Amino acid sequence: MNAGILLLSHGAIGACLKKEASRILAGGGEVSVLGIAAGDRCRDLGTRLKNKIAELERGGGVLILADLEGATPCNEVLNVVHTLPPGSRARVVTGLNLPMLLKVLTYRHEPLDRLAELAVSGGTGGIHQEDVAEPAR
Amino acid sequence: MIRQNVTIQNRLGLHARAAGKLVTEAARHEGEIWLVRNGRRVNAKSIMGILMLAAGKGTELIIEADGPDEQQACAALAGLIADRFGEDD
Repeated sequence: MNAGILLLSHGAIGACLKKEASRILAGGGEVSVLGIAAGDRCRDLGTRLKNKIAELERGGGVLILADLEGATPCNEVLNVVHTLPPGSRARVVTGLNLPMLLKVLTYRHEPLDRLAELAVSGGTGGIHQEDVAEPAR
Repeated sequence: MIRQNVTIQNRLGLHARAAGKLVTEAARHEGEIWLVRNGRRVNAKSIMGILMLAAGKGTELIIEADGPDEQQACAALAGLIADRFGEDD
């Protein structure tokens, strides 16, 4: 069974990434999104996350891609994954970006632990400083 | 293992959506498939690898396929490139 995939972001970042990834690669429909809007009451966030993870757990675990380490959505989900019920597994990867999501969608049939590794390599592997010629003076 | 030379035909080159179509097609095949540009070899089932080839129109690539369905895989990818990924120009 494939791992469930959850994009956990500030505002519409996750939804936008999902939309654009779906335009590029088939399979974006399998991704679930939770965007925390500015001013959202975060008090029930833990419960919402717990419910969302339970919904996505179909036997293959859940991969959570969070946009910003140390921010409330990521902190909350880390609390939640430490208290998951038996039989439920989750991995959290931070620094969500489009290369990361494309990599995960490409390899979405891989087992959860491998998928989490691929998310990290995809996200970091897409970051380069390109060679740009200096203009002639 | 078989190899086939191809030239990117569409105006926008191997851009994100074109690369997505290529990866989706490559993933339908069992064997291993690579794209090679100037000696740089990337997995044709990895969209990030394909995008990093930065292959514009006119770029010459080599498709390499290895596996039980290598002929079909090579033909399918070459066909997609020749068909300009279904794009108008």
